[in-house]
This record gives sequence, structure tokens and C-alpha cells, in this order.
Amino acid sequence: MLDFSLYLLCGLVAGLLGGYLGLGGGIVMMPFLTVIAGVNVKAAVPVSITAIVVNSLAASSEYLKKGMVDLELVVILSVFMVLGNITGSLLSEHIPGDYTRLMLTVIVVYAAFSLLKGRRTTERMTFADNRARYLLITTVVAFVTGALSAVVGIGGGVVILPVLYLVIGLPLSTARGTTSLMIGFSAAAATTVYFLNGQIEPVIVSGVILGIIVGAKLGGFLGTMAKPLVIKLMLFSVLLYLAFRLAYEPVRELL
Amino acid sequence: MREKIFKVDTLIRLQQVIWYIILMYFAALAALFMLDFEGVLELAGYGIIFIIATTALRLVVMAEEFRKSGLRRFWALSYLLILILAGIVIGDYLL
Repeated sequence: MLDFSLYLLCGLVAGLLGGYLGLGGGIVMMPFLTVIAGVNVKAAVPVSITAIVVNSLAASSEYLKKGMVDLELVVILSVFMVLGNITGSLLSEHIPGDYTRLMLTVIVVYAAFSLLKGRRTTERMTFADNRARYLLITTVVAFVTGALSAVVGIGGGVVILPVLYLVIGLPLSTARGTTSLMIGFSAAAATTVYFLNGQIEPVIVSGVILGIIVGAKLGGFLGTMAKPLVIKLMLFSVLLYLAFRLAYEPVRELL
Repeated sequence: MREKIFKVDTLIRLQQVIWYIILMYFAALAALFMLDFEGVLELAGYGIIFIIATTALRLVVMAEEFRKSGLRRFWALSYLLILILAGIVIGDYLL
């Protein structure tokens, strides 16, 4: 009973933050499930991935209603990120994981500070406005992000969101809405694989889903009204935390 | 400006219906867990199957909206995405 309440609370918090920022919530859920709820990592990963699908469903509706989702970009990014993911998974044995993690740490820290500094964007710009200019860069960026996510083992949302804002130049609101919808599609395949292999723990996932479906709806609604500065500061903190998590293991091994 | 024809209403409505169903289903499951109901673990599995199936349905709805808007390339890309995702699952299942 107490455990179930903990899983529910975990889903609620991850959904609120994930929905608010347009992320999957995995970056919040994993430490919460493993450290606070005491779930082992092998059981927590499939639960977290399943919850991302639900989070995307709940939060993206709010962004869709406000016209804050670039659907064309969702499709292109999803296709190339999934292809990148497959390539990354196949190559992960041949790529030194520690160096990749450290390299990604530098990029994430750079992205965090760039995000805080901001960039000039037209608030109404969409991918369709500059399709010719951005098509190649979008596909390459999505592919590389997908591959890096697979090699390093982190969720796509927290990586692709700064990319959409800083590289492709989407407004922060559209970048969040677009990320929110696309992460659900890329997580669905992994969820199916985990489910077929019997790796999803029913009790944990039920509690987390119930929490996240409410939290993400509320987070998505609040996120559509959020001030850009608040979002930037929160994303900055999340990215710095991600950088810490990425660098911790390789640095500890080096020392 | 073909993009202006693209309607997200169907997708939003579908997502809202799915949201309600998942909320009700998992709230009922939570109650059953507390009552130590026998077949609750099996029911949780059906819930996950529903989530996966509705994700595919959302993609199909998106693809069909692209088709109606005349955005054939994105329509094809959407179905390609479904094929790739299905391929990953089938590949993992067979290997």
C-alpha cells in the first residue's frame, strides 16, 4: 500500500515536471524510483519508458490545443531519431561509452548556458517556414541525437529540446510542445519490446501511470502558460543535473 | 499555405478520449490492487497493451490528417515511422 502510494507520487512529480517542461520525465523518474522508492534499475527503466508514452499523451494534448506543436517536425524527428537509436544500439559495443559520455557532458553544459543566454527567434516561426533551409540539419541532428541517446543510455527529450531551440531555432514553446509529442512515439517501440519480454513490473507501472497521467495533464496545462524565463531556468537546472549524471561515472573511474 | 488546412482537432479529441480511458482504467486497477484482487496483474498487462495500441492509432490519425491536407510526404513518413517501430518490435521478438 505504502509502496503503491510512492509509485503514484513518483508518477505525479515526474508528470508535472515533464509535462511542464515538455520532457518525458525519465530524468526525474529514474532517480525517484531507484533512490526513494527503492526499485532496482533493471525494473525501473521499463517502467520509466512506459510512463514516457503516457506522459506524452497527456501533456501533448495541451500543447496541441494551443498550437504549440510542429507536427511535420514531429514526424521527421521521430523517424530519424528512431533510425539513429537503432544505429546507436548496433554501434554501442564498438564506441567507448565513457568518452562519449564526457563529450556529451561538454555539449550539455554548453547547451544549458546557451539556453539561459537565449537566442533570437521569431515567436511564430515553424519548421514549414524554413523547410528548405532546415531539412538537412534537422534530419542529421535527429539521427545523431538518437544515436547518442542509445550509446549513452539517456532519454531523447532532454537532448532534443535544446537542439530544437538552439540549433533549429524554434520558439521555446513550440520546441517543448514538439518534444512532448514526439518522445511518446519513440518510447512506444521500447515499451512494446519490454512488455513482450515480460520486463514491465505491473504493480510499479500501474502506480506510476496513474500518477503520471494526472501530473502530465496538469503540467502540460501549466506549461502552456509558463513564462519563458521560468522554463529556461528550470531547463538549465535539469541540463546541469544531466551533465552531472553523465560525467559522474567516467570521472569516478578516471580518478 | 497548405499547412493551414491541417486540422489537429481529431488528434486532440482522440488523445482526450484515450486519456480518460487510461485514467479510469488505472484508477480502477489501483482500487483492485488495494483489495488484493486475484487477476489484477493480468489486467495491468491489458492496460499496457491498450497504451501501445493507442499510440499506433494516434500515429495513423496523424498520417491520415497529413493525407487530407495534401502533405503526401509527411503522410508517407508517418507510415514509415509505424513500419520502423513495428520492425523493431518484430525484429526483437524473432531474434
